[in-house]
Amino acid sequence: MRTATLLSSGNRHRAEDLVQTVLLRMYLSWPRIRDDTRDAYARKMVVNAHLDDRRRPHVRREQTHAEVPDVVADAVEPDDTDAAVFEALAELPPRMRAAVVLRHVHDVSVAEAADALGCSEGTVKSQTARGLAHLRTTLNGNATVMKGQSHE
Amino acid sequence: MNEIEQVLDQAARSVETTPESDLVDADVRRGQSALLRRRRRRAVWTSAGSTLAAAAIVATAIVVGGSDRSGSGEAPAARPDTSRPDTAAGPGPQTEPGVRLVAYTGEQPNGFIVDQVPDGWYIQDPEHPQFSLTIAPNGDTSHPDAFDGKLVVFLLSSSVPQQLPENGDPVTVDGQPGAVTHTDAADLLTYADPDGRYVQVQAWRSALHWSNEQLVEFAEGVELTSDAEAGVG
Repeated sequence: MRTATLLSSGNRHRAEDLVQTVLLRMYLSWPRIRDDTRDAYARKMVVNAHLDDRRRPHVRREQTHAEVPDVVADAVEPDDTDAAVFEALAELPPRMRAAVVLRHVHDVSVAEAADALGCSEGTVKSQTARGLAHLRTTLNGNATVMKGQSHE
Repeated sequence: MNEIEQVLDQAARSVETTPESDLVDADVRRGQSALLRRRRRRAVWTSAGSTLAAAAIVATAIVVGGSDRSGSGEAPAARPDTSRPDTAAGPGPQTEPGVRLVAYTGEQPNGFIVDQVPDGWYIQDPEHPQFSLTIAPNGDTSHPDAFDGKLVVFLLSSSVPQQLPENGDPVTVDGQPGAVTHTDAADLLTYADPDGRYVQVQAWRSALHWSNEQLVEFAEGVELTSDAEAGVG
């Protein structure tokens, strides 16, 4: 859920949809998933679900109703620092965001990130470097975030 | 861990990953409700498919049997299409009060799924815009938006308060609250559907004199899909 939220730039509702999609796919594939690769498989599924979700904007995700059938559940709003981080993540393209999250939150190797993203190791390195540079520039200009870090 | 990794890690940890139990309960209830609607819709289509298949078999038997008997190869006389009214007949009640309900096997109208209609009645213009479902006695060729003498279902207009009438007879439709009110012209059943939308059924007295129970029985056989739209005004 945390990975999905980062990939969704803090959008909890989309993150829940991603997690639900991944759980369903894993349930259907469970007999074929090996124990030693289960974590990597799940990570790859989350990234794929995130990229698929972004790739198909024409898919009608909700149905329209004259009356709203559901109301949004109460959720804890992120504080200013976390909100700034999510906003900065939202400015990254989806694949670049996934590369940064895999390498610097999940701490996976370049090879594992390349496998999850379905690209070359060189692409992972360049995407990660550019993503980090953008985050650094954006967040360094945000006094709240850097003030928070100065107290760490 | 560098600064960027720290802020990313902190943002990730801020995400609550354990939903409260009432949220889970609400999700389960919503899922069960959706499953129920899906099963009902599938049952309707299965029933319609079986009826069409049976009709095709009977029609084939008639054609083959007729050819065998006559030996002339002449096609049997065309049967009247009972799914559409006679164009020569004018409007007016042709049925007795308290018409019994029979399974509806024709084309499903846009915005609605209909299980039952009064015996000898038909759905007017199923491709009509999805604001209202109009069911009329065979022979009534008046415009679908002319409701007198008919049975009508629609979402309450978005221009009126979305609530049950205060002075109606309380009833329950598919487990949802409803109320029946009576005017000189029609009996009106208003109820909330499983999606929380307010629906009204109008049974016009010039053709039907239904009890509250008959109104509810009919309403429970009608489902409004997401294509149904509330009118304005």
